[in-house]
Amino acid sequence: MTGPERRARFEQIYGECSGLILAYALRRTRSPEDAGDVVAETFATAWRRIDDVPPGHQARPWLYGVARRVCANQRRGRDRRTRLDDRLSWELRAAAAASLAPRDDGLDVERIAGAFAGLPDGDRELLGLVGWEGLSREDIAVVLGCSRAAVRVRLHRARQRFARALAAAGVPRPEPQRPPVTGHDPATAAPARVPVNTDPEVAR
Amino acid sequence: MTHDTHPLDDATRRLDPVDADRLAAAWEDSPARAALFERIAVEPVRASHRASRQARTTVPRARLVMVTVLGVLVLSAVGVSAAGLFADREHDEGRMIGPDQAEVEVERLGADVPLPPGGNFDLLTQELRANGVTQSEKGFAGMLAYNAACQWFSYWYGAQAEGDTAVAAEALRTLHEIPSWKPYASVDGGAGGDGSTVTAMRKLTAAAERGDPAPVRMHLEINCGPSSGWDGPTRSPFGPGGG
Repeated sequence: MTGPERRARFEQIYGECSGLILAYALRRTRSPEDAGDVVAETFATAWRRIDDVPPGHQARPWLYGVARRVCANQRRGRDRRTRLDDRLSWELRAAAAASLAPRDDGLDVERIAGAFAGLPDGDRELLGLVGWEGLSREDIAVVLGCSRAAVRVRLHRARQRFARALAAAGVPRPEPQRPPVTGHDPATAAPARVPVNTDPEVAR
Repeated sequence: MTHDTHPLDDATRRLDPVDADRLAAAWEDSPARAALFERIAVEPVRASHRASRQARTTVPRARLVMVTVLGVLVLSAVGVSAAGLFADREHDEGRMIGPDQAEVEVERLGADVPLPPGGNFDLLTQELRANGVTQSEKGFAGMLAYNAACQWFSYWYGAQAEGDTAVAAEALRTLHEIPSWKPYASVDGGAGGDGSTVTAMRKLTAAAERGDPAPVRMHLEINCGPSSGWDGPTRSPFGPGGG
């Protein structure tokens, strides 16, 4: 790749994804300062390894994967005392989000936030990649550097733990939804006659 | 492509601490977006031409890059952010300014940019002295201009929030003048190309002119901080009142 080609490729990736990576970082760091650090290091990595960045849509999960490692390094760089701060920080953020969320559907958002904050780091990351970044199972596999099957299993377990935490917090179990028509994956999709009310993850 | 859906996902989505749409809009117009791109993709190309000048800095290169990039994105962190917009440029041949000279140089170079009533560089000076970064004179001047611009945007934001139209109009007049400030005018004559800081400032000023405080607030929260007069309820977009 020539110099101008590198520049053009990076410019495209930066234009399409820098805002997404900033959002990802803000969701997972303790301050805008830390988030800025993550964005800068993620794209500095992308610039250095521009030939390794996958083409098209796959660039996005690749960048999320880099950002995830940058966040992890950032956390490892702190002393043990701040581990508690991390948890506290997340709970505060969750509480802030809860305070802003609408409450007209009967769900107790503050209790949901409490249940979510109590989950292991890996579960929160996985559920966030689905719920906040809106990633598919394939994309999550790229981010986490594991197989799609592993994502499916981990996601199922994370949801189980989340459901148990919600139950313990006294939050009613949300009604199951019918799987979307789009994004059909014949390799893992539920059989046609699976009852709608069955947990879609368990049905697979 | 398999999108897992589950009843619990909606619960997760409701906990999202980031308003993605607002953030995306603010990021699109943020000076930090252009500055970070330049720092990563443009500056390294020029680096080979200024290896000798790098030796003039008293801090390691990596540290300088980190401070400037971070600072550009979130000025509040160290208060030296705008140096990333100006420092170490190809034509930046000014002398270097260390933290021990910060107070004197703020006094001298700060005279080139106006401050709103009640504005000052006191906190910035404290941060500069504590931070220990040495930077070029042009970078230093650019940093002061950036900080002063933040103070004016903060001044405008406060006035419009209080419904003080006269003060807001006064602030708006100054916002329009930002590109003509000496440190900005010295870069491309203040014209500001696509993605430049000046262009981003103009977009923010345009938002202020049409009475839209949201982009200005997001700019203040992400790129400015207490040292530049922004003392909102939080600098974080997910804090109370910030989302």
